[in-house]
Amino acid sequence: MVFDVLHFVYLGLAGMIVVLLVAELMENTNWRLQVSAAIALVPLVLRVLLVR
Amino acid sequence: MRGSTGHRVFGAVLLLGALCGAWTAAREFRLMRVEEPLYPGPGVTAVRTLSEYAPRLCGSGLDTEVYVLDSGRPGGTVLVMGGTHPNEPAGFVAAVVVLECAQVRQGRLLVVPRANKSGFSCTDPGEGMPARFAVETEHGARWFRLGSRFTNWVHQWPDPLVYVHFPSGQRLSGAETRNLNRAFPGRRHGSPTERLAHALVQLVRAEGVDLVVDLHESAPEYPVNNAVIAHERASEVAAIATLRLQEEGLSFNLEPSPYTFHGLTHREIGDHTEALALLLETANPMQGRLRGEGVPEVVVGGLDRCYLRAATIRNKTVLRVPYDAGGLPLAERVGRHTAALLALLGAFSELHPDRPVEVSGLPDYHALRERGLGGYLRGESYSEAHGLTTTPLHTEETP
Repeated sequence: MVFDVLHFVYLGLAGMIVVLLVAELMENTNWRLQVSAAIALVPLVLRVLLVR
Repeated sequence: MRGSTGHRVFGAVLLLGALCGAWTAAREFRLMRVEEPLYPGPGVTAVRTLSEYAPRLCGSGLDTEVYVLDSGRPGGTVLVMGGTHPNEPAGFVAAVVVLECAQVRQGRLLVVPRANKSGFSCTDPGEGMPARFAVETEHGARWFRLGSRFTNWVHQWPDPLVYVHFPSGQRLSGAETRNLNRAFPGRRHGSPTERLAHALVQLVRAEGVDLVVDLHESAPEYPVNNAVIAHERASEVAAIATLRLQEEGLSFNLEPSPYTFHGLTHREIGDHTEALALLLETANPMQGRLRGEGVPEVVVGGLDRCYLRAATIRNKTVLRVPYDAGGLPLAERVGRHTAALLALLGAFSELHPDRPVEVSGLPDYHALRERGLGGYLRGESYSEAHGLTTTPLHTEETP
């Protein structure tokens, strides 16, 4: 039960970070930060899609 | 600061790239769950699942196939286990060769080629292991998974800081809680790995197994190598078999199962059942700490340039097995396992004439070296021609 709750909290946080990173990717004018955001997105997308 | 159209286009391209990267990684990751097809040979008379002996395993991700090779003539029963450690390919492939080639003339063979099936669904994180390797056969390339030593975290999580073995109370590092060969005799209501060990012990008891042979590999620098490790009740069988192997020119060491090292098949199955328990070890360069590249060629060819260098230093005392430019090919390691298994069956039958187990069709070391591993692995065409089951449980996708 505790693990189930933690699982969904974790997924919610990961999903929120994905949204923030996508916003950053589209709006930031620094190409280095855009590339960093794209790289950080890869494992987060896997996490949110429950690829494990 | 709001981005210009150019930055947004660049961001969109990067987003697309990230999604493509995630898709590729996800696909490769999911393919680790796909089981290689096995092609039961003419000697297989039934295919069961381990959950028939321990129903709690059903649907747990740890259930696995039990192949029965029954001669129909009274005799002993021998259990051959491969894949207890899925990162030790010769043990697993040797069990596959047994179920695809062996024909039992007297007694029974039970073969569990993927003892820890959960371990086959992942690789050891950070070890840079290839996900699979292929062996050329007369029916085309056969691929096999190279798995993890441990049960997949997806099936058993989290690890404790300290693993306390039941029932001995032995303490080991936390990750060992997912090591099947530290979990015997297991517990009915324990962790998934303990439940798997318990199910295998139940199989031994229910089928009245006389002899258990667990097939393993170890690093070339590990002191116990090319060895038969025997529970004290199995030492006579092991001693006779080791002598026979040495007569054939195959160097094998006889090692006693330590009394104080718990959780291993040869110790716990020997202590908790009537069966004689043994474990075989061959040297696998892919497993060692000194290895170089983690590529399928090293798994199959057994030639690693770092081990080649290690074999020459410190007066050639670093490695515990001879190692030269010929490497330690998988065919040779599988041949050691099958030769040792044949010698053990012979020794057991000699010492227990009331319960003999006689097998034909199983290649020995010299046959495997001459014809190669591919000559003894079956394929789709054989299976189709003989109407045999190719995928006993399930296969989702072929990589």
